[in-house]
Amino acid sequence: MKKIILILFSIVYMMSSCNVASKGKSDKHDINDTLNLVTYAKNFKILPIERGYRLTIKDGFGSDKEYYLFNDTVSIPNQFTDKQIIKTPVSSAVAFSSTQWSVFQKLGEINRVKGLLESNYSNNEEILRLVAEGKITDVGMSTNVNTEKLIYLQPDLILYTPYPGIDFSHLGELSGATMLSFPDYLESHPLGRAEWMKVVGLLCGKEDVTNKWFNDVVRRYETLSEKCSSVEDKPTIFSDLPFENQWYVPGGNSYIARIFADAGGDYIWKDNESTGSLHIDAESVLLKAQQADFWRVINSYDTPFTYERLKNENELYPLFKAFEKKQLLVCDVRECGYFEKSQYEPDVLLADFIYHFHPELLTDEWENYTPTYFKQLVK
Amino acid sequence: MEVLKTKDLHIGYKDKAILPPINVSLNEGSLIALIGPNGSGKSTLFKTLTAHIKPISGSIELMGKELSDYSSKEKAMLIGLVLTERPDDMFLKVYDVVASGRCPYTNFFGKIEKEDEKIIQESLEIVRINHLKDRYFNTLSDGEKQKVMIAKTLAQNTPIIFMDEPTAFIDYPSKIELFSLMKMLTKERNKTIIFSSHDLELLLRYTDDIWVISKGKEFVSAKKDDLLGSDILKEYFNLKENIKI
Amino acid sequence: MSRNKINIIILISIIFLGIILFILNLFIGSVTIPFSDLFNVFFSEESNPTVRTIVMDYRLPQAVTAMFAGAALSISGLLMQTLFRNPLADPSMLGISSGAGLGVAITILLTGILGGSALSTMGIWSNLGVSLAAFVGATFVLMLILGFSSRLRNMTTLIIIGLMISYLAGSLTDIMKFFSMKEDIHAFVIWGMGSFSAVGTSKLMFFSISVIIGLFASLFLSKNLNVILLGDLYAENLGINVKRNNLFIILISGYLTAIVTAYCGPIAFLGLAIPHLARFTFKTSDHRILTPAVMLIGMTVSLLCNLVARMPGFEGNLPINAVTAFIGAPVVIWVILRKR
Repeated sequence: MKKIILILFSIVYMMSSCNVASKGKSDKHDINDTLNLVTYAKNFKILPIERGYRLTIKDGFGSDKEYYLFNDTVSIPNQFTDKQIIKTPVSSAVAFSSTQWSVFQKLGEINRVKGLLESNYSNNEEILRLVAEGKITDVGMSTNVNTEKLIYLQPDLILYTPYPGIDFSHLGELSGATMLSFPDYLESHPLGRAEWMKVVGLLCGKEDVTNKWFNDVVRRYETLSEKCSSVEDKPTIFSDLPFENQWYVPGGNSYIARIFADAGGDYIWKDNESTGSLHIDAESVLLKAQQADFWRVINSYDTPFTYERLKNENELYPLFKAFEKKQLLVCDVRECGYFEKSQYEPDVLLADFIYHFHPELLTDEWENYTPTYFKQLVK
Repeated sequence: MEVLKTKDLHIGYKDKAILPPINVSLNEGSLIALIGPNGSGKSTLFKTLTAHIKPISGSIELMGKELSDYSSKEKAMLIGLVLTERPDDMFLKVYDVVASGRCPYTNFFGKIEKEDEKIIQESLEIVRINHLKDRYFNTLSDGEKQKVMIAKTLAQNTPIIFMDEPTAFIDYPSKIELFSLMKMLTKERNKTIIFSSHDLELLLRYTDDIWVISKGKEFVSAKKDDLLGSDILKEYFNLKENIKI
Repeated sequence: MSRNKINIIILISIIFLGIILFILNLFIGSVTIPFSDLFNVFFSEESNPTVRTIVMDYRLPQAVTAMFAGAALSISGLLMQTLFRNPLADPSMLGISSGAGLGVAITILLTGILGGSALSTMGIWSNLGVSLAAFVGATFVLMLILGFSSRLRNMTTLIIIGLMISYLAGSLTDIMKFFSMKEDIHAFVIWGMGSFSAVGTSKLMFFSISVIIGLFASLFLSKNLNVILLGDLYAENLGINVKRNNLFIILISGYLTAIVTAYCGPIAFLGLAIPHLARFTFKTSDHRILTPAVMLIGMTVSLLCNLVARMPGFEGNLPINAVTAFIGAPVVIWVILRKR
């Protein structure tokens, strides 16, 4: 049962990782035209104001949300006192998504996180230890938040992932916390997603650190994709295993499709316009993907995949060329922390695929690189 | 006193009369057996006379007033009904079934007053099922169930009672008991009872007034002796020879 | 001892049990609160504000919701069972819950399928939006059923039509889910699990009053319900306008289901099981006793389920639907076997 939930969860997650975004809007740079503080993300905007920052978040559900962030030490200017104020660095936060607490952790500020959801789906040792020690409280599942525990924690801030039709405002009312919408999954550009680390940086008062990190990520990503932009021979790739005989694949404008393209690959559904997940029948998948060179697969099981096991699972698999040539690129999510970390390392993800598509292009600082997330399945 | 009178009554469904016009009148205290072959329209006639379905044309007068002019509550106080179908509910008590006969008389919440209680008690006693009143209806024999339904109709306190096939499904002694009960109710309590039955020999022994119907044939209302002396039964039931009692 | 006296004793015991369960609902939850703190919430001026919020703003509205939802669904089930003279009838039978599900699916999912997030950006698909959608969906099916029932005399036909509508709504929901993005299904999944906590303090008054109106109306049906137990022909002969009566029963039952499903999601089992529990406990079919008994037992069992779902061991993550059947089914089997 737990396994099923885990798989289900990871599928939901996977879909969200190849997603959605503010549909039909123009490309990057549209939200921020003031200071060049946000460059790739479309759904948040940071504006310096007197003694602090204004953080605007567009999550597609209701009007844009505005938060005013002030350092704990400064006195808040009068004109902002009736606004949603967040004092930084936040001393107690609850993070609903692993993409939120992972930045706290990376910044060495995990002690600011007092609660999170679904810790049992994570393999992160530090987090599991802190939960076991009672320093972090697990407040349930995203589908069933334990409101009582949340109230009891009395956090200052709750970072939540907004979904259509779900209203979290009562959690703020009951716990007295400020509810901060964190729709990172709506970004369809890999760097846009990564840029959300800046929001957490701001909350920790470490915006300089995250700014630097992000600039490094951008530099590395763009250098790599620049190198791949001129390749002639683009290997074809397709993605994902069916779940209960239903194939969901990332849309042609999704986050992962962008990474395939930037790595000099040819995603077989690249012409599709969707930023979300496509539902495709098995026959069409077979028709289109049978001759593809690579097959990207995410493994949410505790145990690693083997070709033998996959073959037993579905007799269609051996019909794919990528399977026959053992060119499956597999990520064991439990092992590598894919869901919590990869979003902030799009350069590493990109390098992973370049490693498989065009290994000769990994030079300079990427010399001798071995894949972090997606490794070729050999057995 | 005349309790029921029909004038050029056409019965049937959807404008299609199944019998020639019926003209009949009944006095208080009559016991009438309605007979006819299967599918001759007995239940249609019953349903029409008890106002469950509308006549195609013609009139039905009850106690000197057109049937359709009565409110449903008034009709409930005039016509009682005993059917072959039985309630089927695990915890329905005999007393509750009989008490439901008081429905037209009780208030909005169905509160049983002293007066109602007396009538319910009396009804139980008339059919001699007082000892069953705390039993669950489901646990009774068919004959006992029949009596409960009759007691319910008595509690309803109507001058006219229709019984649909009351002799079906019950054993022979119960049938005899039923006939004497009906006879007693008409003679001593002045009820008018109209019942349908297939037990020809038995009913000819116990009833004097008989209605005979058959598809496409004239409605016949006759005394038993006249009937036995004629060829009507033979003709209406398609028999080879006449019935002798 | 006479049956009446026994019934009164049972009734008082149930009320007593209900009160205890209500208090336990306030005292026990996934956060363990020392008794002295709990005591202070009710009897002292100076209470811990966090504890106060948990007890008064979270546990209390949840317990009240559980109580009324339990009573409403149980009454709805009783009405259905009597109307159809079918012990397996329950509030979901006429497709009203499926209609509510379809309403939610349409608002959450269809807005995602068509024109992207155009509608969801309007910001009305909050919890209230979901409740409203569920209520509209349920009412739509209810109207449809009422329309059919006014044409049909045979209630068995109506059951079949209800089941068909139920399947139809379910399949439309599935089709929409099929074409939806996973993120959009999230809210639908949450709604479908059922919960007594979604009502909250702000909507509690509205919810409670809406349910009380329906419960109150059901009390006025007792006499007619008793009579239709005999069968439609007998009922009509006893002066009941059967068609109109059926319409009222369906209306009240459907209304109660719609309200509860809108706010709490599709809560299974209570509607089916509680009427049986009441019949077997009070050994009667008399709705003047059954109706209040079903309300009280419904409230009590629902409070028990809510308590179990939030027991410390389950961390408040146990969906209420898992508990209702898990607790209810063995109880019903035990009661039925014992009385045989």
